[in-house]
Amino acid sequence: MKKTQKIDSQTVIRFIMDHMLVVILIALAIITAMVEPKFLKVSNLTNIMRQFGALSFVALGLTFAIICGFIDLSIPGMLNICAVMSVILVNPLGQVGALIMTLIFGLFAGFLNGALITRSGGTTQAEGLFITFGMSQVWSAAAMLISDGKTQQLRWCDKPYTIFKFMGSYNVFGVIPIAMVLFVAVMLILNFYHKRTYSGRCMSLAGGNKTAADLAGIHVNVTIMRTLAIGGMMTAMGALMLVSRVTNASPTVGLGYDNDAILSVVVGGTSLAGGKGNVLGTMLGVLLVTLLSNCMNLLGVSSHMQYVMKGAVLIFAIWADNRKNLQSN
Amino acid sequence: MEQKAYTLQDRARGFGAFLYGHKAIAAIALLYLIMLFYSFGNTTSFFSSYSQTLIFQKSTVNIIVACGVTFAVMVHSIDLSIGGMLALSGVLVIKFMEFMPAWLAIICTIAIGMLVGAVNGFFIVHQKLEGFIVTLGMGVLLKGVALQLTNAHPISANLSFNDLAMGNHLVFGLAKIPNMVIIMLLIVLIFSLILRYTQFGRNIYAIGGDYGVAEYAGVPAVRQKWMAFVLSAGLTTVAGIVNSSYLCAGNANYGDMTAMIVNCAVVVGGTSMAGGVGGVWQSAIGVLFFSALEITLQNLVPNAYIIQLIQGFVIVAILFLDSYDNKRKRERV
Repeated sequence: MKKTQKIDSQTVIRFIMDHMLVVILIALAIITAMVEPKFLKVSNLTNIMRQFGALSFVALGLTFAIICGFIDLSIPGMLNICAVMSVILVNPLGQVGALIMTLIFGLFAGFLNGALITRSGGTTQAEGLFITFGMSQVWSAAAMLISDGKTQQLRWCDKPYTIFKFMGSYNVFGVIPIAMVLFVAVMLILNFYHKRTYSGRCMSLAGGNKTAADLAGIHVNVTIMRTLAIGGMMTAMGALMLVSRVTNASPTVGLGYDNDAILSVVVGGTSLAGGKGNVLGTMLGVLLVTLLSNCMNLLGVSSHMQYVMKGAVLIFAIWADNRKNLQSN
Repeated sequence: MEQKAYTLQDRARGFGAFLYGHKAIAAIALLYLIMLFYSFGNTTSFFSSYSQTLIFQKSTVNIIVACGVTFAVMVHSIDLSIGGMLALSGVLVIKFMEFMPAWLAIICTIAIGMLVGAVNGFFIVHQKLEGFIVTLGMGVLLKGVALQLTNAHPISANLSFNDLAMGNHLVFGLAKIPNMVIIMLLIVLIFSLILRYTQFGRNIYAIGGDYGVAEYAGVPAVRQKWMAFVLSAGLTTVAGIVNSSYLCAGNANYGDMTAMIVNCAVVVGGTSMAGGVGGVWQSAIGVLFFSALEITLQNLVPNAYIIQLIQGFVIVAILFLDSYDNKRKRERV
C-alpha cells in the first residue's frame, strides 16, 4: 500500500518535472485570477490572444533556426524593415502586393543570412551569431533610410488597407482574434513540415550533428539556407501582424524582440545546441512570456521589474532543462 | 633573374600574410590613408588633435570592456551580460556616492560586478549551461535592476566626479591626455601581461583550446574558467564607472548595443570564437578600429543612417572573411 503511494508521488514529481512549463503556466494563471479577478474577463483574454501576434510568429521562425543550430539575431532589423516596407508599399503596389512583397522580402533576407553563413563555412553557432547581428544592423539602417526615421502610419495611405485592418482587429465568433487563428494554422503547418516531411527531418538531423548529416547524404548547406529562409518569412509575417495590430510602423519597432523570442523558444524546451525541440513547445513558451507580462501588469509590477523577471526566467528555464537532461541520462 | 623574381614574389606573399595576421591594424591604416587622400581635396578636421583624442576617448570605455570580454571569449564562451553590467555599474556608483566616500563607492561597485561575474561563472562553468543564454538573461536582468533603481531617468553625479575621467592628474598635468585614456592604457598593459606571462593567463589559452585536455593536464580548469567570467564582469564595472565619470551621469539605457559591438570587436581583433587564440591588445585594436571607422565615416558621409548601414556591412564582411579563413584553415589540416 505504502509502496504504491510512493511510486505515485514519484510519478507525480516526474510528471511535474517533465511538464514544468504547463504547470507554471497554470499556477501563474490561478494566482493572478485569485488576486485580480479582472484577469478572467473576456476582454482581457482576447487581449492576451491578440498580443500573441508578432512575437509568436517570430518565435516560430527562430525555433527552426535554433533547431538547425543557429541563433538568428537579425530579428530586430528584419522586423523594422518588414514593418516599414509593408506600409510604404501599400501605395505603389496595393495592399495585396505589399503583403506578398514583404513576405518575399523576408524569405530573401532569411535566405541571405543562410547563404552568408554557409558560404563562409561557418559551422559554429558563434559565427552565425555575429553575421546575423551585422545583418540586423544593415536592415535597421535600411529601415531608417527608407522611412526617413519617421513612423509610417497606415492611415496616410491613399489605397485601401482592409486586409491589415481585418488581420488586426477581426474576431472570429466575436472572441477569438484572427491573429490567433492564423497563428494556430501556421503552427500546425510548420509542425507538419518539421515532423512529417523529408526536409523537416533533415533540418533536425543537420542541427543535431552536421558531420553525421553530411555523411548520411543530406545537403547540409541547402538545409540551413532553407531553414533560415523559412525563419525570415516567419519574421516578415510577425512584422505584418504587428503592423496590422497597431496600424503604424516605426523603424525601431523590432527592438527587444530578439530577447523575447529567444526566451520563448528556450523556455519552450528547444535545445540551443540544436537538433532538439518543436514548435508546440515554442507556443507554450510564447504563452508564458505573454501571460507573464499580462499578469504582472495586472498585479501592478513595474515594467522595469518585468525585465528582471524575464532574465531570471530565462536563466531558470535553461537551468531546469539542463537538470532534466542530466537526470534522464 | 628568375631567382630575384621568385624572392620578390615570396616577399610579397610574406607581406600579405603579415597584413592578414594584423588585419585590424591594416584596416585602421587603410582608414587613415583614405582620410589622407580625402584631406587633399577637402577641408577636414580629422587630423586635428581634437579628433584624434576623440577617437581614443570614444573607444576608452569599450576597450576596457573588451579587455575583460577577451578572457570570456578566450575560454570558448561569450559574455553578453556586459551591456546590463555597464548600465548598472554606472548607476550604482553614483547611487553609492550619495552616502559614502567616492573610493568606497568604487570598491563596492567593483565588488558587486565581480559577484555578478561569479554568478555567471557558477551557471556556465559549474552547472555547464550555455554561456550565450545565461549571459543574455543576466544582461536583461541587470538592465531591469538599473531601470528600477533610476526609474528610467538619467541621474546626475557630483561635478567633482568628472575629474576622475577628464582630469589629467595621472600624467601630472604635463599633457592634455585625460585620465580615462591613461586608465585604459594601464588596464590593457596589465591584462595583456597577465594573459601572456602568468600561469593563469597561459592556462586560459589551454582551457580555451581544449577544456578536457586542460583538465587532464592538471590545470584547475573549473576555477580558472570561473575566474575569466569574474574578470570579464569586474572590468566591465570599471568601464561603467569610468563612463559615468566621463558623462557625469548614470543612465540605465546606456550599453544597449555595447554587448554585441564589443563581442564583435573582440572577434574582429583576432580573438577566435573557437577559443584559445587571441590576446588583450588585439581586442583593444579591434575596438579602436570600430571607433576610427565611426569617426571616419562621420567625416565622409553626412547621413547618420548611411553610417549605420556601412558599419553593418563592415561587420558582416569582416566576420564573413574571418569564418571563411577558419574554414580554409580547417581544410588545410
